[in-house]
Amino acid sequence: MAGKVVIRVDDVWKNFKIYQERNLSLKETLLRRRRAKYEAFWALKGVSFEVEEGTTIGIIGENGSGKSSMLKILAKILRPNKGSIEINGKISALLELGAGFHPDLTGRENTYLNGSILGLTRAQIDERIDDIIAFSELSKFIDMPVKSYSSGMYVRLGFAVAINVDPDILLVDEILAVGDESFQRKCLNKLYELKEQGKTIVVVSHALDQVRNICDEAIWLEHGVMKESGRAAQVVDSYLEEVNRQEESKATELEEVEHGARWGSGEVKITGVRFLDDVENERHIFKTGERLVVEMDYEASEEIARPVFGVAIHSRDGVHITGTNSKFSGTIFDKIAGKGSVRYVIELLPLLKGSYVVSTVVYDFSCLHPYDHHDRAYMLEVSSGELSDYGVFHIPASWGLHDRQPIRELEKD
Amino acid sequence: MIAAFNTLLSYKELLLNFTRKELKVKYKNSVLGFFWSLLNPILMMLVFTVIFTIVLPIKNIGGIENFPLFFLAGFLPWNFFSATVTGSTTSIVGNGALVKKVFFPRELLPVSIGFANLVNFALELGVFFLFVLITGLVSDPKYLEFYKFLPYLLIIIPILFTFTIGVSLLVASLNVYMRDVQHLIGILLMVTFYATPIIYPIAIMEGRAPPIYIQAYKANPVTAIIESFHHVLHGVSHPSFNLLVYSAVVAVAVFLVGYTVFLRLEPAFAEEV
Repeated sequence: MAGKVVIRVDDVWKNFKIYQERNLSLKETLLRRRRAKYEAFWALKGVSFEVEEGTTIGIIGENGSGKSSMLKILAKILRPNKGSIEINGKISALLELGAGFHPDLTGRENTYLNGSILGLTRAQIDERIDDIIAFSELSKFIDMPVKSYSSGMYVRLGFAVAINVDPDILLVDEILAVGDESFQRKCLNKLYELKEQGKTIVVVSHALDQVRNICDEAIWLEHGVMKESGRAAQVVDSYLEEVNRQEESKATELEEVEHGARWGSGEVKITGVRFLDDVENERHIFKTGERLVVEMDYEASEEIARPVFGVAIHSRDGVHITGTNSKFSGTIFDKIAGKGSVRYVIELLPLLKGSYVVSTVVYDFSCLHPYDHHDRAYMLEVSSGELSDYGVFHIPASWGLHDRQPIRELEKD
Repeated sequence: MIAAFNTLLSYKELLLNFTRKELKVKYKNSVLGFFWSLLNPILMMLVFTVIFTIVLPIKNIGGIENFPLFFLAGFLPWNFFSATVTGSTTSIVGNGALVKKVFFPRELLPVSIGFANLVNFALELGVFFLFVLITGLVSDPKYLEFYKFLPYLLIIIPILFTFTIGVSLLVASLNVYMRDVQHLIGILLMVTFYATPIIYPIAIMEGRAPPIYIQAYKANPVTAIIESFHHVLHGVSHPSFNLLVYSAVVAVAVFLVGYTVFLRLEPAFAEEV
């Protein structure tokens, strides 16, 4: 497709001021004789791209990656600090549907007001008002003040107005999360219709399937930088890959920050806890059925006779799934001193897909005196792998047709 | 700024719609609706007439004839000024949802408030003319000449409008950055109200303070504008040429300052509201 370029974004930078303490009051401003302290947060760091006429392009990326800022810059609501944008054609932005509706005005009055905010003349709205009302499915309520509308009705009218602006370039922010299933489908159809008419559409969305289906091209923004651009399907795939990778590493971070309660007298301390897989790699995401080793490093400041190590697993919603210790299992450690590690080995992890929290403890032989108790301190993610069982547990079992002659035939014999 | 004017012109339909919205919304849920905008100055006039003719009579001090007429002649333009400035102060912040999501020239918000109040003002003047017919003609034959001086309003009202919009643009944009403005503005307006000859004639100020203070008092552009209204609507006379020139110059200057500040601050409105 070698069409005319209708959007040209050239090295766009945008920063936001993140105020530590926002002083909006005159007194503070006067007393400090300067504006509040702030940090500059760069939402966009030198983004450049071009969009050709008739292309539907998706902007994807995690929250805070700069997608919405990019869209607002295209809509001229925000101005870039550096760089330039060039837009050829009439633009309409579906950013906030129904932004600017006045609660006391009727649906019809708001349609006129909103239409003219979006750049339509009165005559143009006169022409389209029937389409707009029909599309919004609000003909019965159109002459009621919008304050009596439900939120769904509100958004439907907003969408109906915005989509009927008939722009050359349409900017869309997560609109397909609007209204009920049938209205969503209607919106989607309208979008396809516009696409077929050769409109240029820019979509910001988290719905990657939709991006893959609707968009020809996609841009993936990460922390304000364009990480990849190209065919939509391809960009979505590499984005998904990255998200999966990140989830893996995020779990580690969680473990380091999140510490549940900890108590104990401290003669023995648990100094480190690791989840190891079958090849001794440390991991936080395991599949059902894998080998999981909970390794606990301990440090005993004096010689401790017959300590008892224990492990408990809770689901995130607080159900105590299992709790066991070395004594229950009949393993008695005569004595420990100094540093060392203990392993709790689960050969076949029976937990199903979900998030779990693990406690690790060391007690005296009576199990009444805690040396060190890390309560619900370690996060464990389980993905189902090949299994599609429901629930918390996989119980190893098998199915089979039992070959037995029907009873009636037996009777006949 | 010329470019800004051109953009503004291309949005005149939106300006019209915003103005219409202002007017519609203001009295939407009240029984008397639109009549409130006419009733309000009349009630105010009654209150001040009772105070200054019965409770604290100042008739003799200033020697004003027909106090109700005098009061309305100054209060109606004041009301336009005060209502527009008050409304504009929160016009950007109050429409934050819109400002953050849709592009349009932001000055339309305060300017549309100005136009809506101008419509009110025009209607109030209509009622005022009736009032002149009823009370003025009865009390003093000079009101027979009243209509002769009305064309001056075509100069004075644009001066008032320009000045008011200038102040409004300034406070509307400053309030986005410092919300104190919306609190401060009420007090400032009250001070200005008393510092302007609306409920008393300007003459009573003579000799009450050292001349330098009187000079400062008269330099108040609102006073200059209100005095012109007094000349035409109450005194049935030409407004002073000097006053007209002075208020016109100040109005244009205030407008330019207000609009410049507004345009300077405007790009970041979407981030700051």
